[in-house]
Amino acid sequence: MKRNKFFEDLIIGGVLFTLSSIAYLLIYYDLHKNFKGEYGFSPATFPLMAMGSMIILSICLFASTLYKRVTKKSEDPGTERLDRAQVKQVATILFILIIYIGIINMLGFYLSTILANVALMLLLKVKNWFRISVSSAILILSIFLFFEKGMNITFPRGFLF
Amino acid sequence: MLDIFGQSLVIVFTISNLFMIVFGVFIGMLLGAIPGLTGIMAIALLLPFTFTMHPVSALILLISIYKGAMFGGSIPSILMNIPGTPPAAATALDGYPLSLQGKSQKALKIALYSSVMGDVFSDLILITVAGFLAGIALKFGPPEYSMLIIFSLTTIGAVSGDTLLKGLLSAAGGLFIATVGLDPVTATPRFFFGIVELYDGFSLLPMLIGLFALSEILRQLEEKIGGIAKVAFLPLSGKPEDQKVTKEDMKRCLIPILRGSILGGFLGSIPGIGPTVGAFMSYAETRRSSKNPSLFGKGAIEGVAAAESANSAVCGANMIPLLALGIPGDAVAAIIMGAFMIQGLAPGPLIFQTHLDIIYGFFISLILANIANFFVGLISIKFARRLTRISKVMILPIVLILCFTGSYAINTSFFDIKVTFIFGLLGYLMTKFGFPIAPMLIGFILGPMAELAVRQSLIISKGSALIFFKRPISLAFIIITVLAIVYTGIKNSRKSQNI
Repeated sequence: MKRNKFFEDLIIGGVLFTLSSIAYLLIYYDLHKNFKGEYGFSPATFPLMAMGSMIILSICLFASTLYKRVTKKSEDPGTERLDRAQVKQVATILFILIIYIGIINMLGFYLSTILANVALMLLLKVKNWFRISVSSAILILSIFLFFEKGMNITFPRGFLF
Repeated sequence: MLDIFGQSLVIVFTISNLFMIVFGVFIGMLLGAIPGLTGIMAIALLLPFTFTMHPVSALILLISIYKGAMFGGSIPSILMNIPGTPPAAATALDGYPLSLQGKSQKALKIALYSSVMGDVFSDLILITVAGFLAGIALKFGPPEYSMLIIFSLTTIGAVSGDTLLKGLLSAAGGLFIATVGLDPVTATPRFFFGIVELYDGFSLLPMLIGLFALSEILRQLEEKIGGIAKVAFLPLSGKPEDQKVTKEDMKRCLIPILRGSILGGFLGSIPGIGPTVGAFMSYAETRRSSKNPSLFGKGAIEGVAAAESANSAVCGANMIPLLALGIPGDAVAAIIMGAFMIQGLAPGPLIFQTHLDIIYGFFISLILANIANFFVGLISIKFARRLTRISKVMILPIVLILCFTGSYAINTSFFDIKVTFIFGLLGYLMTKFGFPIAPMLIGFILGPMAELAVRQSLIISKGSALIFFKRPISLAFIIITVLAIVYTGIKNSRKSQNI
């Protein structure tokens, strides 16, 4: 799979324009019409200004990218290979993090942290179980001493500890 | 004033604060020396720990970490041609060739001396200029402040990222995100979607940790890391003069260090110009004015001196708009601003009147941190090779977990963990597609101030927007903003045509 930066910028410009326009309309009809402020400045005015700026800027991004592509006034940055292994690695890490966040309240912070640390190290091809165990132990102990004992912050407890 | 200065001395010169300075410099140097862990990440992660500290102690810790990291980044840059921090990329241009010649210790020492000298220079500028500028800023009214914020965001957006448009989009995104929560004037709830935690808007620290720490770690972890790598180092040359900075070396480097310090100090005071730009500009200027430009890139010690002095000089000067105007000029300044805000303080011209003791304490700690940086740096140089052996693979998962731990610790809110994750993912995607994240954070911080200033201006003018054009300082900011946009647009357009 390949990445083309021109094409990417066109898509991003289009997506940002669409999302900003939808948000603008929702804010206008929901917030601006229902709440009036002094001198025409309502709670919706500043968000509308920010969204309006995004609409204009996304149109400019789309148009300038298209202009560069059509007129070929600048060199095409070309395509680069999208490294599937990279995408897979990041996706796996994000999956581990989502699971980690999901199980914190169930298993408790410490157990879920140990599991997440082990999962991440195995993903990064650390095969030495001694290193994994020591780093997990140091991590948990440091968090416990510094946060719970030092700063009196209690982390979520699960059904075990 | 003298009695307030005396109070500040008493606050700073405690055993715990002095320990904090040395500890902060050491941690910063250690994290800066590990490629992939930047000073910004270190400060972002440690910010929640400062919540319970005295304001001066908190600032001492954070600024010490940053100063340590600025030199720390040059260690792997020189030894392995892998910049530990982005600004250290300029140091590698001549630092690594020196290592290839067996002169790594000389390169590290000149990097340290240049870094400290650049730091001292910019701190002196900060100490002399900030108060003066704050005095001028006290005359600013809401219209001037509104346009100053718009100018700052535009400049920051223009110089960050691949293109002007992406930088401005990032800033506008930050402004919008800042509107989540209660309206500052009417207390009307905005965009909270029934989530109670969003009544006060997004919390700054979880967002900051997500954008700067988590997103960077995800970017580091996407590389193919095959377990713990063994690093081979280049041998040292046998000659003693190759491992120390001689008088002749120092003589050659004095002008580049001075040039780098002045350039870095000037550039740093402009919002948006970070140490990376300063380092490369100083390097380029030193090479251009050198009698032997062909030696650069092959181990010219002046190149190392120019880059390091400039990148350190930018850091102190970056604090000038923060302290004097309340406008963070870059990501680090934004994080330092976060530190002030956690403590219930608002940087800006008024802080020189209401909390002068804290400002003096901050200034004193800057100087002490430079001294600590020098001595800790000398010791670190001896162990530099061991520092760089610390494996990324062992550190990054721990730092990743600490991102969430730190976020949770701020408000003991599970929601903050989710905020960190979402902004971490957003920051990662933004970086992948060439959108800078610093303008988004700065837009988020300045958004409420900008909204309030604009509304106050319209109340003063009874709804007329002409007030922004009728006030001379406000008009000047508008003109400079437009010129900055036009200039950057033309420059980017010419650059893309010349590629």
